[in-house]
Amino acid sequence: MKKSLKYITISLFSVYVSSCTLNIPLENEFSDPYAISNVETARELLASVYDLVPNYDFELSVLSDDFMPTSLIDRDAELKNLYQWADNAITNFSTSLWEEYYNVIANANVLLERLDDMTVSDDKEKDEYERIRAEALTIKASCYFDLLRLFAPSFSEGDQKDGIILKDKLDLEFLPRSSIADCVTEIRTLLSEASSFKKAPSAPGWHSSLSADYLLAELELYAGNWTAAAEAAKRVVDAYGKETMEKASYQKLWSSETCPERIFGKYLRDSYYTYIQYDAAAGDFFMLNDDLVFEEGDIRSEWTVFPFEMADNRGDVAERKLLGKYNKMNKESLQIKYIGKIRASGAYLILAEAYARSSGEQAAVQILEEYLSARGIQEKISLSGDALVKRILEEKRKEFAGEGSNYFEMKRNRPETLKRYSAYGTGSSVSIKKDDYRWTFPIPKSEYKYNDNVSQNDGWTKEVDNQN
Amino acid sequence: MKKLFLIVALLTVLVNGVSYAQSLKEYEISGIVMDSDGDPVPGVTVSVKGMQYATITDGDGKYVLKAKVEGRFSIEYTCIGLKTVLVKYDGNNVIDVVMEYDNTVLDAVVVSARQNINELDIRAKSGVVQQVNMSRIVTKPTIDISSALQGSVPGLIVTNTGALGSKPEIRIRGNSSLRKGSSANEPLYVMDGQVISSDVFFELNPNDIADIKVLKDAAACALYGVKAANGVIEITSQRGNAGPMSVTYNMDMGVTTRGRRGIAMMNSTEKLELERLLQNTATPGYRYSEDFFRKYYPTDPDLENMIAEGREVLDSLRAINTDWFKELIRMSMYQKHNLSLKGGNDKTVYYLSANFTQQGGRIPGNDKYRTSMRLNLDQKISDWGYAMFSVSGGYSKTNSPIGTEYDPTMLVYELNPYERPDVGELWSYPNRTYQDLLNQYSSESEDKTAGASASINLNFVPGLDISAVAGLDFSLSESLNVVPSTAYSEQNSGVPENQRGYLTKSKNTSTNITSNIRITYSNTFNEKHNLTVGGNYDYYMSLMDNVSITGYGIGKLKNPSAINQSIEGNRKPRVGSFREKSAQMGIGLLFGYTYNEIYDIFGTYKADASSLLPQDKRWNSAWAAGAGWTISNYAFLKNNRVLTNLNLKASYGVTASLAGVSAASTIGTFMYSQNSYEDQRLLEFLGIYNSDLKPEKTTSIDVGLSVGLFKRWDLNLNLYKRRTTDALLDVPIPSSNGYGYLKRNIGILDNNGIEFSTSVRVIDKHELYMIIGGSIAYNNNMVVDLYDADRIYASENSVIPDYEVGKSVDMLYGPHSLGINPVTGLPVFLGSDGREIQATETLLREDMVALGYMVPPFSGALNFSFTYKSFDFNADFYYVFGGVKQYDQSYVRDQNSANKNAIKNQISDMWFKKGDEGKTYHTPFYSSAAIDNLTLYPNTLTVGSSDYIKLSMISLRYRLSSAFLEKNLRFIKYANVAFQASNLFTLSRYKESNPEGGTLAGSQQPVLTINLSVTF
Repeated sequence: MKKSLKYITISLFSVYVSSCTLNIPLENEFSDPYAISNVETARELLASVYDLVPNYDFELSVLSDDFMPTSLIDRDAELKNLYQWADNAITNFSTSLWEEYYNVIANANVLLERLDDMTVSDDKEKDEYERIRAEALTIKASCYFDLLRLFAPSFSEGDQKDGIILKDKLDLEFLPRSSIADCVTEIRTLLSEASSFKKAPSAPGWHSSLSADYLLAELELYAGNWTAAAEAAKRVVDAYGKETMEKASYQKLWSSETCPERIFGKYLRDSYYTYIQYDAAAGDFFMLNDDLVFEEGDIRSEWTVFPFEMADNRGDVAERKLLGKYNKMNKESLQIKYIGKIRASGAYLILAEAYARSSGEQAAVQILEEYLSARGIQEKISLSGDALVKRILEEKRKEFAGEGSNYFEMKRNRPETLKRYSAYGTGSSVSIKKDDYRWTFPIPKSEYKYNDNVSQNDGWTKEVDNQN
Repeated sequence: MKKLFLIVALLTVLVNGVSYAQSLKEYEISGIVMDSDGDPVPGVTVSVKGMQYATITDGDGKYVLKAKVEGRFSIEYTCIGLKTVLVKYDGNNVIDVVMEYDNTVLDAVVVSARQNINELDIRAKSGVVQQVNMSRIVTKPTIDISSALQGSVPGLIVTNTGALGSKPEIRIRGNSSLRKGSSANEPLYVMDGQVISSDVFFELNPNDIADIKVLKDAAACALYGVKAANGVIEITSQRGNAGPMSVTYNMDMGVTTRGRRGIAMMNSTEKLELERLLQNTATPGYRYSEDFFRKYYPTDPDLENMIAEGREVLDSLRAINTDWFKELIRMSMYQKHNLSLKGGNDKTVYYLSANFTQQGGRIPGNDKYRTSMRLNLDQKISDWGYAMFSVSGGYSKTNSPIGTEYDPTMLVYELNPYERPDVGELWSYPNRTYQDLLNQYSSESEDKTAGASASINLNFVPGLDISAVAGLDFSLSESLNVVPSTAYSEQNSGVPENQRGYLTKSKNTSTNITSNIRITYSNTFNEKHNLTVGGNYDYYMSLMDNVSITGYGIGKLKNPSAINQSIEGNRKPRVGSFREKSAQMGIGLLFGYTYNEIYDIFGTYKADASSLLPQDKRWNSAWAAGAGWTISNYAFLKNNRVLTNLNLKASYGVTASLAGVSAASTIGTFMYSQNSYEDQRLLEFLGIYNSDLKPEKTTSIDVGLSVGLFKRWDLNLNLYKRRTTDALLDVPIPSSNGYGYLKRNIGILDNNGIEFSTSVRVIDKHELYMIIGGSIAYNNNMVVDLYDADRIYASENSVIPDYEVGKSVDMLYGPHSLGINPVTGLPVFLGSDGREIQATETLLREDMVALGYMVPPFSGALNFSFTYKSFDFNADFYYVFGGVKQYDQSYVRDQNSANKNAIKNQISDMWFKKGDEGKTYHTPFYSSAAIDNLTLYPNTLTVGSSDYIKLSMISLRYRLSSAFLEKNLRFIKYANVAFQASNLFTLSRYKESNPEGGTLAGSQQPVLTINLSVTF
């Protein structure tokens, strides 16, 4: 009895020991090396990279001359400070931008590193593999480009000045800033590679060779390479054509429908552009700048201007020209599915500017007229030189009012002064000069505090730990 | 001769008659049974040897044994785990007995059941194992056992953090990790050999627990391996004992009171005057004042009339004086019912219990109740083994109106005394009534637990002990958090009516399987050499499965079926889930040797692996060695009347731990999120990882001394030094890396301390008995090295390093305040160079001074027990000192916040005009930048000593005499009535309500109860 029990015990014990295992795959998490092993998972990771790209179009518009504050601005001190270009507000804003863009870049690097180790079997997979890679490169380049425009001086101030940190891998690094010229070269390389994959995307939320070309055109414009800018923009213009910018199409830009003009639209799942509104009944913090005037018949007007009755500080009610676009969509409870900043009209305007600046004025006028007529303005343009460029830029400002990109345009083509107004009707309080240091955002503390190799931009402080 | 015969015959008859009468004599023997530590032992079977007369000691170790016995007899005292004592009856009807723990090796014939198979006595000889006095824990009326543990063992620090139903923070000997928070610093909980989570421990019924041991040093903990890097709390459940069935019913009924008020707020007169001074037009004190009318309507012909009307309004407001502390903080109920059955024979014993406890919290909507049941059954298998079974189940429910963004307790400090709960809009919350402030949020959480475990102890061969335990623990936690559509935040969210109100309901099941097999061989050679060798293999598996739904548009309903599923966009219903299965495996070896009960050496090694770690980092080990020297066991000291115990012990151990580290920290890891982009799911990268991550290694040295004097005075001293090398920390990295933090092995942390405890039996007579005890523990930590730097700033905005070589991790820094500048009314600080720093200047690192420890380095307890005849009196105090806590000060109002109530005397303590000297609070009219130095850092004036002493338990018990029971209530064996109270008062210099948690809102509520305990 005792003996048999002993055997039973021993055999039970050995069964028990051998049945215990530690190779339990996590059911929720997927770790290397098996996590990103095929194009399907790579696409899902890529989707998360897209999703991370920050949307600060409203805040950038606040910094630009798109808006004037309404009487409600006093209700939000932070927003007011940002509008006034207060150091503190810009510092906070720039910190979010820096951290979020570099987070996207890190994630794009994670994907690119995984793609390097991936093997694909058939042509279909190879196609998808190439496509994913091109899209990841485009996202990375667009983040670099935004960072460069925000955190580095303008290209014209000297291309050997410090640009941004170029990050090639996920690993912990303490990198210095590369020069603006090097940054441009890097972005150009990324976009050129991405643009070489020519197949069309399955949905507007994915980048394509044409969105890469669009960005490339913008980059060349930024760097003053007019011919290269024209070349890239031409590719886009040729692919889209004038009719994509006409009324029927333009209206679809502000809906969740497919819009022929949209080259790339960031897919949205959360609320967007809600911070402009103080209260549904009381109105918005900002209204359109008075000098943004749309002519009769201009189809942009309907979707850019949102007339709204608002009370001023004294309680008098008057109509205010609030921003339409996404703000209007929110007010009218329309679902916003895409942020369509990269669109055919932008390519037309880039092309027009590139031609105008590279003495192809005739071509520039033709492109501009094509654009204007699509937008409902039948006008014979008889401008040349700086006046032509100015007009093109003015049209661009109207086209993209409230979409953030005007801030970049202003930074590139500095106005003599940028006026900052007090609550509407009470005049201007301060103005920002052409050479103001705040045109270049400060490198945030979360970078320089832990990275001795990084330099700060002129005019901004770099508090160092005085005991180090 | 005949006469003689008659006399003899008569004598014989007489003698016989007398002896016959003697053989049937009735006895009533009483006394107390104590263990060698002087603590009463409940549940000991006291019987007349060889006869059926038996009884069981009560909760205080007392017994009354009645028997009709013939001639001489012996009384036997038996209890599992203790050496059986046999006392010959010598005519004395009072027999007090001391029972010793059964430390000897068991031979094949006497098999004792060991509930926790890791609980080997050998480790206690050189390791630090301290026992919690359960009778005091049970006496304390509080629903949570965790809170009751506070002060029970020196070095076991229990800090209550929130309202009723929130888990306190439990640490053994401070933090050995640089990382803060529970996942890296929490002790391991083991119940009857089964690893349980802190949540399961939190829900245990104290009455079901026979004993709790706290394992502190490496030698004691090493058997549990790397999981025990932060110490172990070992819980042993109540078991039955041989003897007739006894039924005990224990009831507590009482009230909970409001607790410490902390700050006195203004009354209506003072508040209205403050409002006048602060000139905020949104406050009645200014709006209806003469000042206001004269300023805004100077030329109005109706001015005097307006002023008169205003005065009337103010007078009527002055007449109202609502005490919001009393209005919002309530008294509530506490009740506990516990029924237990015990009994069995020499083969089978059982314990069965059922419990119901309910405690009401301080604010309406906060309460907790719990019911639990347990059945423990021990079965002797033939003469070579023992099998034990446990089944338990429980249900608990906690309600709370306190959300992350919303705490109604704070309203005590915000609502004005001239406002009323029943009428009108509030000045303190414009556009809202008092009802709009309540019912903003509700949270219900329910825990349903079930567990079963079985263990066997087998002794086939003398000295060889094979034991195994297997257990399964299952818990289902459900929570429902609701923000109704009527909540103010929803009303003003701007979303359409049909999208308002939201809830999150989640169900989380966790299944834990524990198994452990241990083989121990122990034998004594030549009566002097005792050798123990052994090994074990354990495996733990846990499965967590969570599903949650969040939905909007529920209106006022608290049910997921009310979710409006037509909503698109960011109020779209969401489903979340989480599932994780993990396992841990361990192999351990141990060795122990004792010579003549004088010298002990002990060594143990344990290797553990976790499935959560990548394969190459999976196995980590812990080892420890210890030695003990019991000087009092030398022949020349044996039976010494003065020095009754003298023991020295020392241990050394190394534990490598990756506690709190998941795969994502060391390898690229991805997870699906609830969101999507275009038609794709999002597979999200979890974050930057460090493939060079190593386990942090804790080396600990412990030296202990125990002294016993006159058999009634015990002293215990322990010194420890713990060093954590390769300490893990989420270190900030340049944000261009895409992430703010990276987990790295960053440095060396020392954690040292001293613990001392003593207990004296001051009076030790049969009916008069007094014990005084006390303990003190000191813990101190210091960063010894940070590998690539001298200091680490956890956030880019910190001016003062969070970790600095040579400094404590718990130190709070800030500038030295010079008070308020009488000219500017703004704060002034003392610079490092001795000059005054004005409000507009920026403070530098050098200007900061150490303000004190955030975690008090000293803590301890004082215990007092007094017994006189049938009365027992017990009191426990808990104290901490040496720490500071920052004051909240949100109750000091400036112009913008003038509509909320303010601290009493703010008017006299606040700077209002040039020349106001010696003020505490700065001017109410300022620009926010001017007080940056004040808001960014604590300073010498905004922190206060958090020293406190708390009467954590007091009880007065009366035992009904057996004579009374015999006469009137024959069916009752024992009965007690008692007054018991917990947390009755706290003495502290700290000005706000809660020196323990440091939050303005919370402090522990006192509980006062009447207790009745009856054994049938």
